[in-house]
Amino acid sequence: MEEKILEIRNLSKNYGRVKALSGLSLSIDRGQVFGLLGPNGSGKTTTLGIVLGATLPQNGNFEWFGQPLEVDALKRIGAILEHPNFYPYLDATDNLRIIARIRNAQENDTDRVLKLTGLYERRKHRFQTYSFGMKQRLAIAAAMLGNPEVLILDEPTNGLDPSGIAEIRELITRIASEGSTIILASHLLDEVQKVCTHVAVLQKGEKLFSGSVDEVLSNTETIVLGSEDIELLEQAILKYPEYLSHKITGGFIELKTKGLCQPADVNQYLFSQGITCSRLNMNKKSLESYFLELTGNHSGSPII
Amino acid sequence: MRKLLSVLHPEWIKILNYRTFWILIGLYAATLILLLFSVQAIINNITVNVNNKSPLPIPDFPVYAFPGVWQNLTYIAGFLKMFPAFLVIILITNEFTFHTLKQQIITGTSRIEFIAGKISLIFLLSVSVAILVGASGLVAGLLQNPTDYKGIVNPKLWFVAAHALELFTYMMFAALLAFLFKRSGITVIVFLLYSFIIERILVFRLPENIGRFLPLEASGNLVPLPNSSLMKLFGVSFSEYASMQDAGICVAWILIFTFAIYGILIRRDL
Repeated sequence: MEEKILEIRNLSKNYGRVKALSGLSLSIDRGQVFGLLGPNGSGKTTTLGIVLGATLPQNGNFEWFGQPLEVDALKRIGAILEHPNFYPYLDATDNLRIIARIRNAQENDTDRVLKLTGLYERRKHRFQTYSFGMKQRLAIAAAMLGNPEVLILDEPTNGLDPSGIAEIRELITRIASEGSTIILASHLLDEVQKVCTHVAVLQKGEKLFSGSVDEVLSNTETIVLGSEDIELLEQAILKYPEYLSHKITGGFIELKTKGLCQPADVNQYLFSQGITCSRLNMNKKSLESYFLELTGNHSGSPII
Repeated sequence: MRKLLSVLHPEWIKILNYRTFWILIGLYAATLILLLFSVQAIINNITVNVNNKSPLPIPDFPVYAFPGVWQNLTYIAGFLKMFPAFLVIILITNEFTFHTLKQQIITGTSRIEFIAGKISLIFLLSVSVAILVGASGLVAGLLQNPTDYKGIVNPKLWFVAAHALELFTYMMFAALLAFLFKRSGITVIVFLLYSFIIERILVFRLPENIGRFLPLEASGNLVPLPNSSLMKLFGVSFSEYASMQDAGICVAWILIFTFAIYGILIRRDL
């Protein structure tokens, strides 16, 4: 299970004097749904462009499946990068046939991915007649041709309407459950939180954090406890096996635990210590608040 | 061969349903045939007009008689080679405009395979046009009365192959500019500037033994101006056969253009 799919070491890239990436290292294992999270211009697309062989790095290296990039490795990866890129004068089927050819996929696989993305009825229409949402879906269809082991999706829900977004999320979750590894770049925190198992946060070309989404969330979750005797409560929680840290604010104790927060366990423990809680509630922060913390954007202005 | 077919097949899908491409090809083929079959009439018209004023009678110039027809028609066809060169520029700059080159690279086409696909297409286009010109020559020649059947297979038949090489060199130059500039507008402008002004001036200013090594000059020299009896009258004499040296220069340029395109693609972000 711990098989390395992609290993990135110390990648750097400048566009003129603008640093797009500086010393990025990442490691992605098989089966992960890996979210690359960061505001616009944080280096997500540059990173994907480099590992897909379209952009040349100034420094650093990377390995796919334990080897330097080769054309055959790319055939095992389905990717969309930035915009949907197709021949506007060709219909969806012809556009997909070109991709299928390159990836040595069966030509009739085009029908399967067109049905999956809901474009089958429009397959004989030229790409230039498509709405942006349909173009985006065709890009996802192209990425899925031939069931690649790895899917790279750069802002896959861009330009989609709410039902389209929900469909794509469901699709990603389903593909992930079939064992594919997915790398998802997004500036939508909510999206990453909903579908990813692992996440790396980028800002201005640097990695601020990487780890599992559970880890991030447990990092942000606290349990707020209140009791008649706050000192007794404090002494008790210090001995709680899962204790990580705490602080006292406004007469309540905010407790951080090692693993995921289990309010029921805490309650049971305290009860066994002879303490009855007058207040016990979970303070669940979203990835968004964690992200804001990390990127130092405390003003609360939305990143998205 | 399998490898070649596998790089050509995507190229074929790209153009098969590309209406603009087929309209332009159709226009080109129609213009070419019209021009080739009208040359005699145009020349006759000129000679008649000139003969009226000339003290000496100017001999007739039978354009379509074997074996001269091979050189005459391939030379005339050279005037239209700008047309397929523009097609090549459109097909290549499209890949940049639509970002489809990038998409194909990240899907698993190697840069060499991509270039091989485009060069194969250019090669097929060159050979097809040369065959069309050759077929026109054959038909025109057979329609002559009397027909000189012995003149059909003649060293001058090589001019058909020379025309294919001329087109190939010319289109490869257009391809290089397309890969270099990525946008059709600027590519066409630079191409026109170079072929009609810059290289003309260079050929004019440089000594002849250097100027003839320039790519468009060398490819243009492959099929020299036919020696009409009119020319002989003025004592001008051009080569009757395609020169191996010019052919060699063209092949060298084709190789240089190919490596230059590869160099551009591996050094640049897509």
